[in-house]
Amino acid sequence: MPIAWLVCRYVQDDVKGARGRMPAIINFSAELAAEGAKVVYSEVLGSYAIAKVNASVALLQLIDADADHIVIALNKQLDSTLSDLSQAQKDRIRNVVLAMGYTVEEITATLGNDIGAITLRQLLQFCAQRRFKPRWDETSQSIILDGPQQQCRQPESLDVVVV
Amino acid sequence: MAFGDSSVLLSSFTGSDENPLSEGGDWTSDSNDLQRLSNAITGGSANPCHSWWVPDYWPASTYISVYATWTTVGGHAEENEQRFATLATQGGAADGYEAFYSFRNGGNNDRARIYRLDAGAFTLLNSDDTLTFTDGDKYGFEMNPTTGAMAIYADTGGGWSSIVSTTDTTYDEDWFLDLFIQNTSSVWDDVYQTGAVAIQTTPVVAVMPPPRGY
Repeated sequence: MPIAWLVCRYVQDDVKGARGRMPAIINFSAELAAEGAKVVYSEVLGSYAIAKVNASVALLQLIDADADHIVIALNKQLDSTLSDLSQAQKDRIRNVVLAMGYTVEEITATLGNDIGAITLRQLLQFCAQRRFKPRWDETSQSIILDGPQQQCRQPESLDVVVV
Repeated sequence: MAFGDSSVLLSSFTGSDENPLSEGGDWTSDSNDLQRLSNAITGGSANPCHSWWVPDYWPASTYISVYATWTTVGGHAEENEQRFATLATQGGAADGYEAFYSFRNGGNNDRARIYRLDAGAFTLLNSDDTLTFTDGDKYGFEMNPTTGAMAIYADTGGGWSSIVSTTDTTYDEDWFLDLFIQNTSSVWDDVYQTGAVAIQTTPVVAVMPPPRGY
């Protein structure tokens, strides 16, 4: 089956309610299980995750069309460049990285001005630079991500799980 | 080391009925306690209940595992947990990891999930939502805090096998064991544990309600 790397948002957990978060890819658990697909993910900045999944093209298209996901590479090795992405795809990825909370200055300094000129590994490592510890806030009855900076599970660790 | 090897019995819960569960002070809680009933444990009331193991803790970087026999899976929509939380958050908003078991009704599949807890907030690390829990099965949770590897294991009669696994290295601290049974219809028995423990000498003082896993 095709293998994709994607970015997805964390959404409210379907059993823990407001106290819990889950990567939105879990919403496709039934479809993934039906195909015998495998998925692995790592939380990154801004309540996003990077994920690697093997699934049919049809299911990957369905996931990519979902507002909480963006497929960033299909059948690519970590050291493959992203040169085949369209400008629209590159803009979409850049906007997601900005939405995570990375600054324009950070993006430009590390990734340059053209995502198509970097490798998949560079993009994923950039996303996985940092995240912040969540906490449950009784007052607002919500999860707030304002704790100490935490390390992220790196893409190389995900890469070996789904092959 | 395979899951279940070198495990020692933490408690068989043998004795007269006791609510709240104490066993001579070995178990305590800060909200709704578990109870010992008919030589097994269940919720002490029709609420989310939990009790933690007092005498020992597991030092940082220690391999840890725990498992129990599910004498009775329970009524529908049960949600039970085996949690390793950091000793520093005992009695407070927990940091740590938990194996979460959700028994569902209406023909839906049961679920086993691994969550990370951060100051009382739950983050799903991995899950298998295609399971069927059966009375008499055994379920357990293991952690290797050094590598961050953790897994839920099931023994449904054919030996132990991993059903959910993940890796997370956020926490590597001293740990305590906290068992959650949602209400009085789930029954667990014979809790085993693995991992070198240290004697807990500091009195446990509950300072605020823990996060409820429901």
